[in-house]
Amino acid sequence: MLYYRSSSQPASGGHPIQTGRLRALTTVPLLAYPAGCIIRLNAPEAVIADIAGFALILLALFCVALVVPSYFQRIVGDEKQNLDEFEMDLRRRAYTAAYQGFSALTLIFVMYFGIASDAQEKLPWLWTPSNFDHWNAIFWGGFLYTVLLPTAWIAWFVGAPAQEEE
Amino acid sequence: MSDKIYNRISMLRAERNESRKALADAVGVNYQTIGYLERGEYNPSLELALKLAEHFELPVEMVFSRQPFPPLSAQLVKLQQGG
Repeated sequence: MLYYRSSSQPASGGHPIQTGRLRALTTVPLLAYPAGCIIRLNAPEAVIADIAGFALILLALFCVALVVPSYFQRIVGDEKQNLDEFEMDLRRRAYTAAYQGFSALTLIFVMYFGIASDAQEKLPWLWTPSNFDHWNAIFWGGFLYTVLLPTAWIAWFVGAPAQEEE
Repeated sequence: MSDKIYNRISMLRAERNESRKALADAVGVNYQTIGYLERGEYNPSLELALKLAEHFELPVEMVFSRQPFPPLSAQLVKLQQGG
């Protein structure tokens, strides 16, 4: 899991980000990346679609860059010995929820892929991954989801850290 | 889901004019964890509860309770009435 520890604050507990902003920063990439890939892969000849798709993918990466040094991402990604018992408990719950979410998404994709492959002759408009670019986009999407789903769960289901009230 | 455990950490900390960071350093947790404990959003382990009680030099049942603590003003009135 990704977590960036600032060299200027090596002992810090992660960069504080307001919960509302963190919710947006973790949700936008989960939506923008697949949207960008779908736009790009389905209109490879159209320049505008290409630019729009790239813009969405860059937006997703920009949001991830802002999330990586955050307090919640530290809980998800830092080494175990740097976390206290509350943070370890939160990590366990976040991993469990993210595992269930990722498993559900994978199952849906496999079912869709199976149906779309079987029904290619009757339903040729159903998209299936067929070349390196398609599988590459799916691989990095999977990577993005495994990195961000636990942090997104914490951002949505756990209260704000204390410093926001001080 | 376990039952909520009530605590007096914020009051005891305020009495001693101690910051969350100082308390967190004393008991070996992140200062944000103290915030979650004070708001009752996390029930500490027995080890952490004992560490906090030792830090405040109080019996653990005076820091943590399964029932809400009565307000300080109500306790003072009770004391004045000789209760």
